[in-house]
This record gives sequence, C-alpha cells and structure tokens, in this order.
Amino acid sequence: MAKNSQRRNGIPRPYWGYLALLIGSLVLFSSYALFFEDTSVDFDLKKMSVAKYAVDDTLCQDSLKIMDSLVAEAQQEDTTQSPTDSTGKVHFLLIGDSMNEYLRIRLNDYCIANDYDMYCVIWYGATTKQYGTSDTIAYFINEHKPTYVLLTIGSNELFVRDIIEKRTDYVKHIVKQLGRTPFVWVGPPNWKEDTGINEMIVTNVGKSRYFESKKLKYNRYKDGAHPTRESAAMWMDSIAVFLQNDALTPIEMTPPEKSYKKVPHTTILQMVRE
Amino acid sequence: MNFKELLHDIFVYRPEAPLLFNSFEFLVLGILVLGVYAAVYRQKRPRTLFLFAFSLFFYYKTSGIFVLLLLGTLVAVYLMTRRMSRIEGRERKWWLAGIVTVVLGVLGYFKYANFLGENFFWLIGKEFHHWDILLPVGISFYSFQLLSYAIDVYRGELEEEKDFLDYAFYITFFPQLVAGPIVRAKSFLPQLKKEIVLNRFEVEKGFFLIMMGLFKKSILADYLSQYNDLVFANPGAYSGFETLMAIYGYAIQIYCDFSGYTDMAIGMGKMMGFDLGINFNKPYQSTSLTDFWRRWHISLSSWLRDYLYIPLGGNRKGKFRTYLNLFITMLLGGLWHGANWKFIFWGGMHGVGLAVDKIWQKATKGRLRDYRLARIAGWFITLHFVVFLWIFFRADSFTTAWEMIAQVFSSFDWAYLPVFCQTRKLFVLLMVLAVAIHAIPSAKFDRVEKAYIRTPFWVKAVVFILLIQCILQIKSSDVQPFIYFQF
Repeated sequence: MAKNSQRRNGIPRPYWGYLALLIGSLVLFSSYALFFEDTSVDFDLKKMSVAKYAVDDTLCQDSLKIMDSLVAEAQQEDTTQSPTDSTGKVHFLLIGDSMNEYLRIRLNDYCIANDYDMYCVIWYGATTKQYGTSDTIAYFINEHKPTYVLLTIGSNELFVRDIIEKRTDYVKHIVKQLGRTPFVWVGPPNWKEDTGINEMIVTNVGKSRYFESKKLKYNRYKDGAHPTRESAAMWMDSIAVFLQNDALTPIEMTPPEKSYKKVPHTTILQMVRE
Repeated sequence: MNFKELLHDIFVYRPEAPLLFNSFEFLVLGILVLGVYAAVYRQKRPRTLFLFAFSLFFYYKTSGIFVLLLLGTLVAVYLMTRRMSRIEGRERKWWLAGIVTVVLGVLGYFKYANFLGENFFWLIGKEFHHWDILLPVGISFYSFQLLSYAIDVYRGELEEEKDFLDYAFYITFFPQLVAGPIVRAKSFLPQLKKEIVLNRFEVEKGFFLIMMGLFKKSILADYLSQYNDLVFANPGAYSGFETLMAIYGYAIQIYCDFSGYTDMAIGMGKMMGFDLGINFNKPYQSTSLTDFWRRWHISLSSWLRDYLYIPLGGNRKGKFRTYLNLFITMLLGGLWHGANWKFIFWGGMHGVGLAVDKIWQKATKGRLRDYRLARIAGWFITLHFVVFLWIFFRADSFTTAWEMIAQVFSSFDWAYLPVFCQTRKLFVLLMVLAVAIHAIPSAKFDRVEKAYIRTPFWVKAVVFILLIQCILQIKSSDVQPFIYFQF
C-alpha cells in the first residue's frame, strides 16, 4: 500500500497533500483576514492574527492627531440627571466586556466603603457592535435604574480596520441608550496600538466622560490582554480618581480601606464568538 | 500591509510571544520546514543539518539568547561523555559525576537559585531580594535528555555518539525540545542511522495527531482556562459549586494542554519519519495511583524510575526503603516541575499516595481488581486524589489552594448547577466533550484513526479548515502558552 502511494522520490502522496493543505489554509485565512469585511452583525467569522499586520501603526498616530481636534468639539455640556438618588446614594451599573470580571470586585469595594451599590453586566467578547445594535444597555438601565453608568467596551476591537467608519454609529447608539444617565466610558487597556477605537469613543463622548485606560501600565494574565486581579484593582483606583476629580459628573469615591473580595450582583451574557 | 513587522514577528525573538505550535508564525514556518524537508530528507547529512539548524532557530524564537546556553551545555556534555567512554574504573565515575554536576549546576542556577536563596535568607532571618535570573524555556526537559544520554553511556547500555551532529540533533529536535516528551537516546539515535522512510500511514497518522493536539490544546484547554484562571485568581469570589467546577476544569485543562502538545510533537515527528514514543495513555481512567503514573507523562515517570528510583534501590532493599524511595523520587519529581514548595508538596503527596497504594495492593494481594465495584471505587478515589492535588499544583500559593478547598466545603449549593449550565454553556459543553474523548477505549480510538485515514482527502481538508476556524472563534485574544513551557 505504501509503495503504491509513493510519489516523487519516495514521498507519499499525503505528504504533498498536507503541504498543499497548509499552504492553502494560510492563503485562505490570510486573505480572509486581510481583504474581507465583517460579514454580519449577529455573527462574524473571526480572523487570523495576521489581520493586525494590515494596519500601519504610523497611520494610527496620524489619525490620532486629526482626531484630537475633533474631540474638542464633542458635546461637553452637562445635561444629565443627578448622579445620586434622593438619599444621596449612587447606584452604579457597570456594563461591558470581560474586563469587568476584576473591575467589578474593586468597584464593589468602593461601593461598600462609600455606601453605594452596584450591578454588573458582563457580556463576554462583546464589542461596540453588539452593544450598539441591541437594546441591552437600555434594558439594564430600565431594569436596575442606575444613577451612574460605567461602560467598559472596546477591548475586543482594538484591531478592527477602518473602525471609525464602521463603528461610529454603534457608539452613537450606545450613548443614545444611556439617555440622561451620567456615565463614564472606560476605554480598553491596550496591549498594542489600536486602530482607532480610543479616538472614536472620545470623539463621541467627550474627554470628561472618557477614561483613557491605555495610558496606564498593566500586569497581565497569560492571555496577554486581561490585567491581573491586582492590576485591575489599581486600574479601578485610577478610574475612581477620575470619577471624583475629572468626570463631567463628579462623584465622591473615597478609597476603601481593604479589599472585601465580594462579587457584586452580576448578569453574565453569552460569549460572543466573533 | 506592514510586511516589515510581519517578518520581524516571524523571524526575531519576542519574549512576549514565544513560537508555539498553534500560532500563525508556526504555520508559516511549518510550511517552509515541510517543503525543504521533502527535498532533503533522503540525504542524511543535509537532512540532519537542516533540522538541527531549524531546531536552534525554533529555540531562539522561544528563548532568545539562551540558545547559546543550550549549545554550550550540549557541547560540554558531548565532550565529557566522549572522554568518559574511553576510560574505565573509578575515573569513569568521576567523569559522570562531572557531567551530572555541569547539567544540574546549570539547571540549578537558572531554576532553583532564587528558591534556595529565598529559603536560606528566611532561615537566617534576613530579607531576600530576588536575583534577576530568567528561566530558559524547556531547560528541565533537555537537561534530563542530556543526563539520560550520559548515564546510558556510562552504564554501557548505549555506545557514545561519535557524530556530533546526530547527537546535537537528538537533543534539540524541535518538536520535543521545549516540552517533551523526554526522548531517550537509546530509542532515537538508532533512527538517525537508518534510512528515513516516509510512508503513507505514518504521515496520515502524524497529521491526525497534530489535529487532535490542536483540538485538545487550542480549543479545549484554552477555552477552559479562561474560566479556571478567573476562579483560581480570586477563589473567595465564587461559590463552592463554581469553585469545584474550576477544579475539575483545571484537571481537564492540564491534561488537554500537555497531552495536546505532545500529540502535536509526536505527530510532527511521525510526518518527518521519527518515532518519539507515547507520553499519555488516558490517565484519568486509572484505577490506582501506580496505574496513573504509568499513564501520565510516561516519558518523565519512566525517566524518574530508571535514573532515580532504581539507583536509590527501588524495591530491592525491603519494604520501608521501597516506600522511602518512592517518596524521594516523587518529591524530586515535584521539584522538577518548579522551584516552589507547592510543587514539592504535590510531588511528596503523590509519593505518599504511591506508598499507600503499594501497601494496599500487598495487603489485598491485588485480588480486588477482579471485582467491578472495587475497580470503580479505585478509579473514583484515584481520580479525586489526583484532582485534589492539582489544586496545589495550579494555585499561586498554599493560601489560595486552601481558600479554594474551604470554599468548596463551606459554600457548596447544588442550586448553582442550572444557573452555571445556563451561563457557562460552552464551558460545560467542552468539559463533557473532553470527558467523552478521554473515555473512548483505545481500541475504538484506533478505529477512529483508521477511519480518518480512509477518508477522502477533501474531507480531511474541510475538517482541518473547520478546526482552524473553530480555534480562531474560541480563542480569547492572544494564544495561550503551553502550561509545561514553564517547567
């Protein structure tokens, strides 16, 4: 049997077949990653990491400069409702992607220390596209009546090409769902230069409603993306300082004296396989 | 298209992105290797030279400058072994002692210096500042190969390899270089002397193993790790039921991660005409702890048996010494996994477990094995003993490990089961799938393998492409390193 299938100097046919298969797969997956747009809103075929090479970092830096001038024009006027209820208590809604896993633990520490409360929603793998094409945020606002919303969306779309053209409408839809509820959008903790997600968000929400997480340094888990528990706690500490001093709608955020390690009430939504 | 960055990422060492079998970079390099190998594999010298050069490049991509350490150590062991093989008597023993000192000295410095320093300073009551020593990837694996080669030559069980290139190729062959299996010179070097025959069956089987390995590592292990990592990092934050799921999840994860890697390594070897042996044989089906260690990381457990347990006296010096030897062997086996007390505890407890198992087998004269119920009980106890000890293996400290255990016993509630299944659907599904794959009897698995080989090529191509797309769909962000890289 072996002899019959030997071809070309004794190499069996399957060897060439598998070599061709590997080359074909490389071409197929690379082409899809480099040249094809996202297929649909509900389900996307994920792309090989080669997609990141389609972006030239220097172009990102150029777009950053252009976007800076636009940021100034973003809506800065505070027309929002009060960040506290009639008893002076803040009710947080922390909603976003998997980055909330550890942020929620530390935010809960702040809630305990300041006599606030919170509700968390984690939608694994979600991007502005999922949140921007659904009424998920509006639903949870209606359900839990938060007085302050913290959004953590963007980590799963650092390398989307032409993101500003493709996803600005989603960001607008997200902001629309928030209505008059005060909010701060916590940007993604970049591990590599992004293709414009940070600029896109800050342009649409304004600097005083945007916490630029990428300027911080993180210790990360082995996936290279998620900050460690300790690092995420420090991240939340920085967000708290921003909320107290720099946010459009500031609130008091007295640092907790210890970590309570308590998980707040959380809804976990099905992982997005994008 | 940023070609400069692409080429840089493929060919230059990046500490944050070691070259892994399941990465885009390895796919590109794999094509180059298979292409060139097809052209040179029939001529011994070019073939060995090419694979040796690529293996060094592969190691450079995972460990950078430490490739020089690898080269230096293997040259030193080669020269010393050659010298040792030419002499007899007491001096021969001294040369072996020299080789062992060199290999363990290098391993000890890079792997255990901080651990020893930390404990020494603790004993004398002074503060210790960690030395800035990086651990070269795979040093434990290649050190054990170097030692087994030298010891086999010393014992006269193997003739020293005169051809430096063959010897260096045996140590560095890239599929097994950084995470095993720990291949013995006795079984590998003779393969280099023979003409390499690539036959259809072995090539097909090799590719099947690579796909199995990819599935186990990149789908099962990597996905399960996302949840397990969360719980192990913050055990107090999860209920007892969720914590227990992460503990079982880790048992599946480490098996799929490590056996997946070795499946890929063995598969690559087969595609190039080399046999690297087997390293796992459905370990969670074991009905006793002794049985478990005959099925788990076989190349390490047989190494420890041949070069540690038997030289210590094995079972030839009475009952007490047998148990003591088992304990010492496993204790050092634990230390091999990492410079940390938790690994020593893990190994020591396995040693105690093996001793108890031996006593039990002696007391019952193995008669209980005839009873189905006793086999089921044996399987259940073995599995849970192993899973229990994985907690210490995985947790970042004893405190975390005990916190996990306390959480399981103090806040366990079955009411979490439906909620867990609802919110972690994919986790549950992959756990069930992993258990089902592991439960398939070997004979049936062989039939699956043969059925795959008989399948038309276009079906295999579709399966492979679907597998790659599933891996892309499931991975969280960057590729997860293999667990055993750290050892």
